[in-house]
Amino acid sequence: MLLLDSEAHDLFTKIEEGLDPFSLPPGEAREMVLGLISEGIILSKVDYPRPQKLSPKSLCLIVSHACNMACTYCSLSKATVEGKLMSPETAIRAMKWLIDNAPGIKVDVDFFGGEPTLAWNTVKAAVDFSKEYSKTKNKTVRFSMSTNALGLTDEMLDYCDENYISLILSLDGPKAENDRCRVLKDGRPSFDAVLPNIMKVAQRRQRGWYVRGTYSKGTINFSDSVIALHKMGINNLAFEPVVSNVSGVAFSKEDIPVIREEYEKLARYYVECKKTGVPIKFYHFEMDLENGPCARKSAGGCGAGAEYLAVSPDEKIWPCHQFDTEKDFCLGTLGDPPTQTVYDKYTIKNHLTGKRECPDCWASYFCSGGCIASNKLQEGDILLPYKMGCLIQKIRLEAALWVYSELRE
Amino acid sequence: MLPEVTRMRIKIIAKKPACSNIDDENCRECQTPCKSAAKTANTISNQICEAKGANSPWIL
Repeated sequence: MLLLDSEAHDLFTKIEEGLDPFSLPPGEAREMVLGLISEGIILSKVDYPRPQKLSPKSLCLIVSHACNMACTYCSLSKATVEGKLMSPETAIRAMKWLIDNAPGIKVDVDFFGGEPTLAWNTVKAAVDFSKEYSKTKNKTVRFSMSTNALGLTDEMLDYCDENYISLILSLDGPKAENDRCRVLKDGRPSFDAVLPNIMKVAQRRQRGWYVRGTYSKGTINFSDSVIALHKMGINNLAFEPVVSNVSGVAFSKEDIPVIREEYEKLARYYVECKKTGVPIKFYHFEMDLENGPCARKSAGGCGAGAEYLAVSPDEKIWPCHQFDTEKDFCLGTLGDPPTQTVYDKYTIKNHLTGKRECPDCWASYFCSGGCIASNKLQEGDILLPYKMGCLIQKIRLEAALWVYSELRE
Repeated sequence: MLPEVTRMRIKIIAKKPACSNIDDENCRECQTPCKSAAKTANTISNQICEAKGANSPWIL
């Protein structure tokens, strides 16, 4: 990371805008710039390799289209009505296919819904099978489960602990903020019902869990929510901006200054905690520039349709969990899985160099072009970056880099 | 506003990637980006290279 003073910042800006660095007058600035170019630190170009073979690595097993809650922003609201559960047999077939076809040693699985605890027997069947079968193939399977925590029992928690199942627990903030959208099926608020189970996880685990919140226009002061949850003893947090077109929920450009203030406020709080030894993890500020992903990974996109796939209860395979029920995006079934051609298509589509507006953006290697599902939902094309998402991502990255620079000593 | 540092330009050190396995195009050690706490694709920057030795039975 290069920290620039104002003079250097202006100079680099001009170079980015097309100034030929070799036309700089002799002096310290010219020497510095030409030195960085010769070392390949700036203005370097790399042809990033792409995977050549079938490359499934991660599956999202949508084990339940049913849910025990009725959050107003849920992307699966239509599917929830249908309420299908994945059978244990289907989950085992999906795991066998993944383990057989994954080229690497490590494979990852997330149990998702709807609400996955409603299909607990399916979750257990998939885990028990994978533990044994992966040994015969010299693979390691790691698990996570995204849950609203409403039905999370002690027995489930014990099983998750025994099998290293990481938990992503949905909660949008303290009571008032959470209960704006996260409600039970009968419309009652959910906070009081889910908090005890979330606190159980917070108290029994050092790692392997996060509280995952969503903020929207109505809860735009999300830093207060994060800080309030942290002060309740929830140390592992990740908050995401909503992706929506619904009035009163969706963000507009006028919200950007407020969102910037929120991330900056949170960054100050985070640094203060870290410097005073108070445990906290805010997922989006946890950057490691020294040990981060390689260039191939950074340019490879989100992985959807290339190394990350989702399987729904009816055995259909999708580019990711967010395309579930989007008929035009179905890639195949467990009986007729995606071909090399399908992988090639998504590997190219989802690569940074295949996205129209990304290659020149300073943040592109940090976000790799963002979420193709959000792109489609908001811009109508998986290759067109979701503009509001880009703006928020850059703000968040700036805050994260400021945190990094503050703490790296 | 945060101090000046937030407005810095970010330069990617393209020829010095963090992961030494860049030459192995089939390296599949680290997580797929969307498989993470945030369940979002915007998380590549929050990942670590597991081929360099970071290893854990926990995905998170």
